[in-house]
Amino acid sequence: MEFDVNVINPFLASAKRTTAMVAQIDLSIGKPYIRELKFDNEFVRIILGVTGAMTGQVIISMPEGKARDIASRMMMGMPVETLDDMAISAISELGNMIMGTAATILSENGVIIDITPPVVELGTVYMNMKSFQNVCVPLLLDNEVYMELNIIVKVKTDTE
Amino acid sequence: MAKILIVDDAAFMRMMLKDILSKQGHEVIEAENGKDAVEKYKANTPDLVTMDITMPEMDGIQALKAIKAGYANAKVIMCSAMGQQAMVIEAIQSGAKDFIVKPFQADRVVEAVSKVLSA
Repeated sequence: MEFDVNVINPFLASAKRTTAMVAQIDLSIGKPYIRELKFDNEFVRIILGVTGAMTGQVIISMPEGKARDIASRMMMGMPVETLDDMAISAISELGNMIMGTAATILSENGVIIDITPPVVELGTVYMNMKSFQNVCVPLLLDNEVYMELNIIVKVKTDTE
Repeated sequence: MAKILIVDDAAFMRMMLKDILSKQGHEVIEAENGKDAVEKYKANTPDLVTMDITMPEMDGIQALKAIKAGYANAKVIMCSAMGQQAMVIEAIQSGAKDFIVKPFQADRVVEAVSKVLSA
């Protein structure tokens, strides 16, 4: 398995910082692995495109219960029984803030990226992105997977 | 109190900002993208605008420029997750009065708004 920590770390730092600020939770970083881009119903996905010095996507996947949990925490404890429009909007914004903060961290190292507005997806899908490698990093709360960052990006080289 | 136009594509973020600003006694109008923001600005001439950047249908920087072109005295505070220095500089050079990076604490918004309104 091969990946660049300089690519991965800004996203992890950002996810930790953002979730601490908006939901008051302290996530720990699990072991990264190469993951097939196949998701089932139990996971909600927040998909954001990356352009600029890096291209590809970051997919934040969360077990449905955890997605409801963080939406509730973001709305000051308002109960979230189902992922309704407002809860989906909250987790979309979570994705936007994680990626925006990552973009800011990357820019401090001279790497300028832009992001696309988030798309939230449910259901079973298999994504065919054969030319990209997905580095999946689990983020844990109380030893359970709370969120996974699927980092599917390529760094642009000068020859491209 | 003031009439404030909140511009953000996320209903959640509009709700959070509306909650913060209503508690301060402000009247709130909402727009969900840059295009909508320019139209609502013309129709309502608010005292202040909070403007997201990453939005479909005209981004916040374009909307800021469009508003400033028609209303040079418009008071706009950017409120975005994209906090890159170049982005902040572009916004300020285009006429934004302040730049709040998301995620934010309510106090940061309250302070920025009262400072810009009293200027």
